[in-house]
Amino acid sequence: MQYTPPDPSTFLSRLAMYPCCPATTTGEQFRRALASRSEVVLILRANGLELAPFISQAHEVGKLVAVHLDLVSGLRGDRASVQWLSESGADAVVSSRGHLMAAIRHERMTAIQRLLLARLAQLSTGLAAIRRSAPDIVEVLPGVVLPEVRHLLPDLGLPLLAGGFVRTVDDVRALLACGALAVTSSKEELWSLPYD
Amino acid sequence: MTDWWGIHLPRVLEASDGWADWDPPKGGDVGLLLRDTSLTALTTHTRRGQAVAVDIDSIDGLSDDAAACEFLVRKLGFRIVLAHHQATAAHIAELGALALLRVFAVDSTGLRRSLEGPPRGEGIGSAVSPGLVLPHLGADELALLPRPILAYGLIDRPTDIAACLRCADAIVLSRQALASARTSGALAELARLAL
Repeated sequence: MQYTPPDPSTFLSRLAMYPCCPATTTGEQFRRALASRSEVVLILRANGLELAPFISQAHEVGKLVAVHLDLVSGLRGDRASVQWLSESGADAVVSSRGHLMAAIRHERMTAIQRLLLARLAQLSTGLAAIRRSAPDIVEVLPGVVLPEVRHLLPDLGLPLLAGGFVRTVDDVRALLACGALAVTSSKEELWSLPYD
Repeated sequence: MTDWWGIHLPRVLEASDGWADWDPPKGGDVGLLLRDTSLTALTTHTRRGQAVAVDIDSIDGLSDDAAACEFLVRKLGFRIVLAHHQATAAHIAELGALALLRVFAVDSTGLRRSLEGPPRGEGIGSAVSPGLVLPHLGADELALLPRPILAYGLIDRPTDIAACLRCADAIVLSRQALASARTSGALAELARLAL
């Protein structure tokens, strides 16, 4: 029987249960993330064609999995690869490509669009792309600068994730204080700390 | 150090689309970076002889191939060129100009990935975007970046300017941010940092 991912509101509520979501780049790190307090694990780098067993392991221990389509190897970043990730059991897909958000939602996965903060002149283009594609969640990168540039971002009416160079408890707290629903980090020491 | 392979890199590059007049600020090491503009504006402005740097990938109508590199360096006289692709940066360096290869530093995984590839030769530094992230990088990550390092993007407030100048060889500012820094209480600190 094919796996059915949770709807976006359930995914969001699971994401919000613990504010630091592990961002994993190796199989070993992924396995350690399964023991973290987070309900959601993010796969950044892996073989996109061999993900199903890993995702299945995560589901067995009650975790949800978000896969970064732009960073995993072996996948092109089109509608067919989105379908492949759905069949692999992914609960959410992360991408900078706005045109894939509809395809991700069509497959009943949660759509997470990356907003890359590189230059002020490019910000309006990124925001317009998000308004057009209407993802379920926006991931702002580099998240660590969000407190410094929050005033430049209009209220998109979408939950914000913050990822990129998040390394300390103070970073996590500062991001939550400026409105992020949760953060993503590859720093394992942040994965099981109390943030209350 | 502000000279790299015999080319002077100003501590501050003021970003401009080339349409507005530009009076070089007095008493500071400030140059002009042309970006987000057209070939027409580029050639018009360079006739005034003020611009030292250009972002090759943001000029409408201009490719980033060998002919475009030669046009910028040999015909228009740019000494500093920002480029997305390593082949373009290598060509700029071969022409005797300083190339600053764009590095997108949005997370640690992406940063290391963007620095993968063959080692860079002489004459190629780094233009890190967003520049605002530089003060948040670890010493090991800063050490990975080939110098000179230009901090490029989202640097706006005087405190951010000072922080970025401490870890970069040069920074890019908008005219507004530069004016704001000059009139704010951070002026003394900026002057100490050779602005």
